[in-house]
Amino acid sequence: MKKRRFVFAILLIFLLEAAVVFMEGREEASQDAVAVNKIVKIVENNWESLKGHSDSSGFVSDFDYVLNRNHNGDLEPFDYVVIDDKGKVLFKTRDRLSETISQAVSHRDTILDVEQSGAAVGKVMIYNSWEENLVTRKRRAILCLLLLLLIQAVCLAGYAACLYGTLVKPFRKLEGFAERIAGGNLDIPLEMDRQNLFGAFTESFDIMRTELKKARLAEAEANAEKKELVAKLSHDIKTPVASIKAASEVGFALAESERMRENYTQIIQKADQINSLVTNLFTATLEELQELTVMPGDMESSEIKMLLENADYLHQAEIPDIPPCLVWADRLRLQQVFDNIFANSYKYADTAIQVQAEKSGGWLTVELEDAGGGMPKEEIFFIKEKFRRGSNAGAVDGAGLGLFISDYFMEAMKGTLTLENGEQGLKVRVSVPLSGGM
Amino acid sequence: MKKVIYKTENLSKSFSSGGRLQHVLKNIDLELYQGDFTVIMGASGAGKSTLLYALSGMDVPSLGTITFGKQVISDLSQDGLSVFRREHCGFVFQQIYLIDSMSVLDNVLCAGLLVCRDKKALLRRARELFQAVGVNEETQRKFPTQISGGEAQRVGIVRALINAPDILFADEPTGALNSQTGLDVLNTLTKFNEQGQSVVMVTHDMRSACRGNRILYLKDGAILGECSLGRYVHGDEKRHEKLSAFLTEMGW
Amino acid sequence: MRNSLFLIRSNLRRAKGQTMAEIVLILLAAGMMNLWLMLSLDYKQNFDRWHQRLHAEHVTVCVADDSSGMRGAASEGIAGTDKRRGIKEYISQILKEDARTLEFCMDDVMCAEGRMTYNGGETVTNFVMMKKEDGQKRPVGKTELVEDSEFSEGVYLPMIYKTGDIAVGKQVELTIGNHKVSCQVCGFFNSVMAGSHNCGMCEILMTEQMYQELEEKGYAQDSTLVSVRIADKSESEAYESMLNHAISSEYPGVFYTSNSYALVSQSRYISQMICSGVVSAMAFFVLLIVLVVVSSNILNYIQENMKSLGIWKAMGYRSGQLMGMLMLQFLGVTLLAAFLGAAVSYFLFPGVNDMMVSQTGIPYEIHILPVPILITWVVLCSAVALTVWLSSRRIRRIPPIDALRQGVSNHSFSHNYVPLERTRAPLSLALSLKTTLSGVKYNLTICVTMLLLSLVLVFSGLMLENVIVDITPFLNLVVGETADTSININAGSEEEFLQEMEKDSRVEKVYLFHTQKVEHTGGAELLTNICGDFSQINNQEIVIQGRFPEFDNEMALAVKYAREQGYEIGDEIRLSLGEKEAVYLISGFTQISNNLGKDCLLTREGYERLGSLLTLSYCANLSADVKVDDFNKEISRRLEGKVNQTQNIFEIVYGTSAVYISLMTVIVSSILLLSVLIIVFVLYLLVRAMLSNKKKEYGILKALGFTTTQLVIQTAFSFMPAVILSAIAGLIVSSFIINPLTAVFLRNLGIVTCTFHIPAGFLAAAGLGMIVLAFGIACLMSLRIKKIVPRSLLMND
Repeated sequence: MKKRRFVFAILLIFLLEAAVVFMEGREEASQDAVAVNKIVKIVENNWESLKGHSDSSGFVSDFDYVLNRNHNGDLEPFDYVVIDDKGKVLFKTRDRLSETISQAVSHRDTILDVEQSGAAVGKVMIYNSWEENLVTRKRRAILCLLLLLLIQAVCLAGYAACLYGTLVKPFRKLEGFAERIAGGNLDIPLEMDRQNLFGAFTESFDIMRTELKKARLAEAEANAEKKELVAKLSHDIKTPVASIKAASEVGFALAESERMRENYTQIIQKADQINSLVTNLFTATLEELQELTVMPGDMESSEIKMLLENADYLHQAEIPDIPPCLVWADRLRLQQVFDNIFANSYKYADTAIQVQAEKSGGWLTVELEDAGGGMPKEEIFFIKEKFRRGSNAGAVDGAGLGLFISDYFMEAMKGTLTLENGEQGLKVRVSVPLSGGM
Repeated sequence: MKKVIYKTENLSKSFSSGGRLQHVLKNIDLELYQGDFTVIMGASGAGKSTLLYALSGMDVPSLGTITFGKQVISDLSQDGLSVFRREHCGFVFQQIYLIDSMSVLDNVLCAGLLVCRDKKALLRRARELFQAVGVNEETQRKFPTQISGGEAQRVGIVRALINAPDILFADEPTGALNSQTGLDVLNTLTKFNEQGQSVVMVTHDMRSACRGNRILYLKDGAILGECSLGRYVHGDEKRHEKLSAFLTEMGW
Repeated sequence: MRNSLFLIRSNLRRAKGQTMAEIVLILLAAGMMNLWLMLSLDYKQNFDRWHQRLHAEHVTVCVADDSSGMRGAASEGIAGTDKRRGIKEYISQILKEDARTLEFCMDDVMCAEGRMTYNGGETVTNFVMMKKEDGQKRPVGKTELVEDSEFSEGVYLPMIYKTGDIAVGKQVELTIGNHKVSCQVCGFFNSVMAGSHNCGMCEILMTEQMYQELEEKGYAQDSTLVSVRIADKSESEAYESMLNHAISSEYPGVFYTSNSYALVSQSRYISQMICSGVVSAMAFFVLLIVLVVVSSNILNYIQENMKSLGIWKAMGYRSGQLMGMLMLQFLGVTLLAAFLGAAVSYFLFPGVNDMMVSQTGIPYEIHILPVPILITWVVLCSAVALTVWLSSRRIRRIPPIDALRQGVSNHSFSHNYVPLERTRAPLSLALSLKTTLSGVKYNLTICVTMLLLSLVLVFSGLMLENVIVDITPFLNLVVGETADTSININAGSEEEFLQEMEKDSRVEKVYLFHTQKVEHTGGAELLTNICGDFSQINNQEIVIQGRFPEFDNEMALAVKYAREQGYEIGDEIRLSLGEKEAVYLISGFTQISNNLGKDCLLTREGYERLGSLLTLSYCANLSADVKVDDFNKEISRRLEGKVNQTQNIFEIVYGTSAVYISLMTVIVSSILLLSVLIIVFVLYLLVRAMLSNKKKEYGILKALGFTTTQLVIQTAFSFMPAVILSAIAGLIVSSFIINPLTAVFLRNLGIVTCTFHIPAGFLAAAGLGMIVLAFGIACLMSLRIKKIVPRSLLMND
């Protein structure tokens, strides 16, 4: 990359030099024919007055504005001499110009005819300033070349410095580095510039150093580890032994009083477990409710508000916000429970219902109370039983199954459903367990 | 009486995957105390990391509140949480997560400059921490890809501690390391804890858990049990037994 | 093979949005390129097709029958018809003698200088009026009616005049000579050589009745229309000048006008050339963007799929196969999109065609052109293939094991730019500088885009300033000299006229500015502008090199012609008029596009060396509040009989320029829109690439406590150094190269150097706007950072 840049720079400079030499070596810019034409035309137009005053000073002002674009591109006035057909000098811009035709010819001046009505009446001799031009041109060429050489020198110096930085210096550094490693000092790293040409190269040296260092450390470590291993193994073996000991201690404690009873207890426990599993299975079947599966899961408590709102289709209650938490319940069954509670209240009390929700302990409790005066105390205990209806049921339709099923649902959800007489009427309390509490 | 720095109420977190809500944390009520080395354990998928990230304000709980001191952080916006994290929390990740394009020192300073305007003081603190974890100057100038995992994790600890956080969260800091380097990292953490730094660490490695003085066991998104171990003392065998008994009880 | 097809499908499916963007861009590029190729390849041929179909002539001359200048006593006392016959015979004799002539035909017509309102301005040309039946029956250069009606009396106009104001059934007001004639438009016709106002003459067909009425009124001179077909059409200009020379030397002072195939074929397609130039520039611009996008997509793909590429390699795929897969994927997309793009261009073509037809006046039938489609395909596919190959070469350098082990971190050797321990910059700035310095690729893309956009911006600014806001610079360039009014007087009454003008306080400046034709001996016929004193004229910038002629032996020559003929300033050139010849020194170069670069300037004395002026056109500048038309009318009245004709130059020039203004407005606004879209698009790509590259880093930074706002600004900032630097550099460089570039663009108009004013203020504001826009867009695009949550860090594990 750097190399390419360098070659490019060198090439550029050579091109520049070539261009300068070429420009300077070129033939002199041709005479400005248009400007010369202008001089001739002005002389022609002012011929009469020129002839009148051969060295009129006021006349000069008309002439000297004819400017020549010289080879530098700068504007400078032409120098010229006007003579008539007899060789008499009528006008000259300054002294020491060619004043006769032969002088002009030998100085390679431009000689043009001045015409008046088709006949030549005089000559304009435009001074050729090639001598002066040559000197200035040479001077300029030398200056340009010097400047370019200077630039080139600076570039080369820069490149040399760059080379020193990228090549020589890293090697010098490497030298000291090698000495140190030879001396056994492995801690001092080799500084490296990763952009450097030798970055990867020097890095491998540094890797060598770190590897050496690592090897040395590993050797020391291996020695230490051998000793440690013995200590460690003895420690590791202790742990399972301790567990075995702890378990056997328990066994030992029981065996001391009645070794066989322990075995029996275990058997009884397992039997109990099987018994309860079988009982559960059978009660579910016996209770003819096997189709009413309850599948509780985690749900957000905010959903309970929706359930309550759904149940309260007559809008008798003002549903409060439920404390945010995650509860363990079956959405569908809980809805049925609330539906049943609200329907009962509509049927038997038909008043406004007060709803309160509260989170305490591991439970989320929703209390619903209407203003229907409640029910007799003795009936409250049995009201959740199957086919049981309150004494005030009267002509209202019903099978006496609603609360029974609701209670079953709540139990299946590991929650509770309790009824009691509140201040105004029947108070139903639905408690749902919080998730994660079990 | 220990000072409570964190308090959660009904902390729950749900993710929806494939249209179904999955509840990862369920009604967690928890208090964390200053100066404790709290270890959260539990089987895979028990919600350990979720709990850690909810506590640390990396994530917003779906339900419940988290109170840090008097500040309720569960109400903060994403940007508010960012500010909270930079001021109060430090993180050590299992995957370490250093930024590859920055040198080790810059990785640390990049976190430090977020809070601290006094660069000199910051540099001093960085140097102290580096020294404390045993990362030398040479390593500080390297890039994360050029250093070993153990070194990287120790750098991670320095980065976590650069802002003197109220609490340091570590998510299985030894998970990606071999046993020797893992031990170094654990020792470092223990050392800082001894100096009063509160630490919360998630792990499923017994050896790591042993370092904590309070072990929480998470199962199915709820705290199943808790075990108090007392301060870590090297070579205390009873401690190990107690822990393994607790874990056996929890069904580890 | 099947395996790679499967891979390609999965690649495409994964990068749906990206592929869509590619398709849209390629579609755009292909559409524009095809459009351009159709315009530049087939449109010109259309002219030749019509030329052939109408059996059109190569040289047209319309000569008045006025033989007052005819030499020899025989002309006196001869009746009009005889005069006519005289000229006709003379011309047919010349034509027959010339070996180049294939066939020719002559018809009796009326001819006069005339004007008509067109496109809101006034257009001036020579009307050649002809009987409808004659025009349709001509064996050479016949006309074809495009639209006809039942009206029994009225005129038929060339297609080009068919605009909203001029339609069948409407009245049109023609000014023939100095007389206004209102007539019914009966229909439109197509004539190849005389169907436009910018090629010397404009044919108008008339019903028999109408023609006779006009002939009786004598508004126009009886003339002869000569149409000649020659063997080699490339000699049309030489043939024209030969014919003109023959006429003017035999009948000096007779009114005639002519044109040639070369002139007409060029001048009738100027707007088509401009349009195809703009479309081609846009096509290449979009193509460039396509290539940038494709290469960025591939680099992005390699970056993201480093691991899977490593796996493929480990499984035994060769790099070539993987590259071939990418090649197949992108080439497939390109082929499809290029085909669709070509189809799209055919949907766009009718609209462009309508615009073009209204400019050229020659109907064009759209048909499927296979060659442009093929070229479009080949160019697009090879460009895309090359880009894919160049940018997928990186695949070769992926070592399978490293890629698997750590997913190859391609910055493992990075330099720690802007070390935080030492820098004084605020944290966000320092971090964005880190990103900037380590992302050379992004910076390069931004630089290229911004450099191109700055060029576009400078061009728009130039056009806005010099054409849309104030059209004078453009007119100075294209039209040459503009004044308020031009008054043509008889040579004899010059003194009286000048006295009158001097007295008139409304006249600010009056100067001779007369246009004549002279012939460059051995070359083309040149239009010469004659002026008494060139320091008087309004547009001193006509001369772009050297100076105006001051003396009778000097002249300034159109630079285009001079370059063609190899003349330099200071050279001598021989001009002739009739039989007189004189040598002139070239004192300067001019650029006037009035006559498509065949112009010259002469002083009055200079012209008088060749011939004398019978009439003189004087231009005048009037005070600001003077109504030019009123002034013209008044002068005509005051100097009745001495004033031949007056012209409201202001109105003519600004009338025709309205077309240019609207064209430029469309071009500039579409260019600006395009560049905004491109900024958006490029930044979108870059931000997307950067986000996918640095997703992990952003996650970590967020976890450490960086807010979204901080990261968004940081990301946007990281683009800014490149944006700002390249915008400034681009604007400065473009400001320097825009004039030469525009000159290249307008080369065919005879313009070599442009000296448009560069609106520095506008550019500074626009540059600032561009930078702010870029920043805003970068911010907007990087809002996607919001979606990166630290949680995703742990979810991955």
